[in-house]
Amino acid sequence: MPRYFFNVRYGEESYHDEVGEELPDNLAAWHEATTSAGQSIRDLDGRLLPGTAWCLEVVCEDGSTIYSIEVKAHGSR
Amino acid sequence: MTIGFPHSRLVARLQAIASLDQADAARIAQLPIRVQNLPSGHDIAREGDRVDQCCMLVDGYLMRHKVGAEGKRQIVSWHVPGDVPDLYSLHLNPMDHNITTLGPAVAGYIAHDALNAMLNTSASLTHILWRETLVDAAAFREWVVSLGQRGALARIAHMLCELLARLRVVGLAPGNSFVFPASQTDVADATGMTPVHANRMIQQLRAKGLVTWDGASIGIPDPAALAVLAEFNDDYLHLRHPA
Repeated sequence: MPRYFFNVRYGEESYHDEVGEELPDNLAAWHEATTSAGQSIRDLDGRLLPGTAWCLEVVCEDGSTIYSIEVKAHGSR
Repeated sequence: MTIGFPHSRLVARLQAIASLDQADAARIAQLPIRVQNLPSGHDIAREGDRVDQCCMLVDGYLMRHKVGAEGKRQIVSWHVPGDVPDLYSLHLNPMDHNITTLGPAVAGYIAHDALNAMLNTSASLTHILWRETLVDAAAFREWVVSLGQRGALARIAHMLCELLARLRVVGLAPGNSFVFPASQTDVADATGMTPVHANRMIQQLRAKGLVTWDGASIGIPDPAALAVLAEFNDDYLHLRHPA
C-alpha cells in the first residue's frame, strides 16, 4: 500500500510526519485528512489568531503534496 | 486455606478498593468460578443480551464498547485481571453495551445465583461489590472529561497512565512495562480520534521519550512525567494504597 505523510503547519509551529501511514489510495488519504483535520484544529485549543493560517498537507512518497486543507483566520478590523 | 488462582485475582482486586475481612474472603473463596480460555475478539456479552452470570477477568484484557448508528465503535473502558466489568448485571439486564476480549483472555464466569446467594450472607460483601461498581462509574466520569476536554495527545497519555496504574495494582506492570495488544484502531476508538491520528500521537509520545511502544509491549519510563502531560491523577480510582 502507498505511504502518505500528514504534515501540519500553524504559524511558527509545524509537525512533520516522519513515519507516515500506509493507506489504500489517495481517496483514503483524503478521507483521513478531512476526519483528522477537525481533531488537529481542536487541539489548537483557541490558539488560532487572526492573520495566521493552519494548514494540513497530505504528501505522498515521492514528496509531492496531493491535498491540503487550509484554515485562515481573518480579523475584520 | 489456599484459594484458587481465579479467586485470588478477585480478592486482590477487591482488597485494592476496600478492606476485606477474613470471613468475606472465605466467602469469595467458596464461589463456583467456571474458568474458560477465550480467543481475541470474543464477545463475552452483547448489547441486548440477558445474562445470568458475571465474568471476572482472570487473565488478559477486556473492552467494553458500544456501536453507534453509523457502525462506529466507541470503546468506553478497558479491564484488567481481577475486574468484573459486568458486575452491575446482577441488577441491570439486559446488557446496554458489549464486552469483548482484547487479545486472548481467560474468563472466570460466576453465576448470578451463586453471587446473590453469597451476598445474602454478608452485608459487608454486598457493600464492597457495590463500591466496586461505584469505582467503575468514577472511571467513566474521568473518561468523559478526557473525551470532552483533553487534547488528543493527553487523551492517549491518560489512557496509558490509567492502564499502568490499574495493572500495577494487580502486579502486572513490572518496571512500569506491560503488554497491551491493542491496535491503532482500538486505541483510536477508545480515545475518540482516527487511527492515523492516534498513530501520530503515539509517535509524538515516543519521540518525547515518554512511552516505548514496540508491538504490544509498552513501557513508561517516567510515569510522573506522562501523568503531567495526561493531566492524570489516580484519585478517581479510589485505591486504598495508590499504585
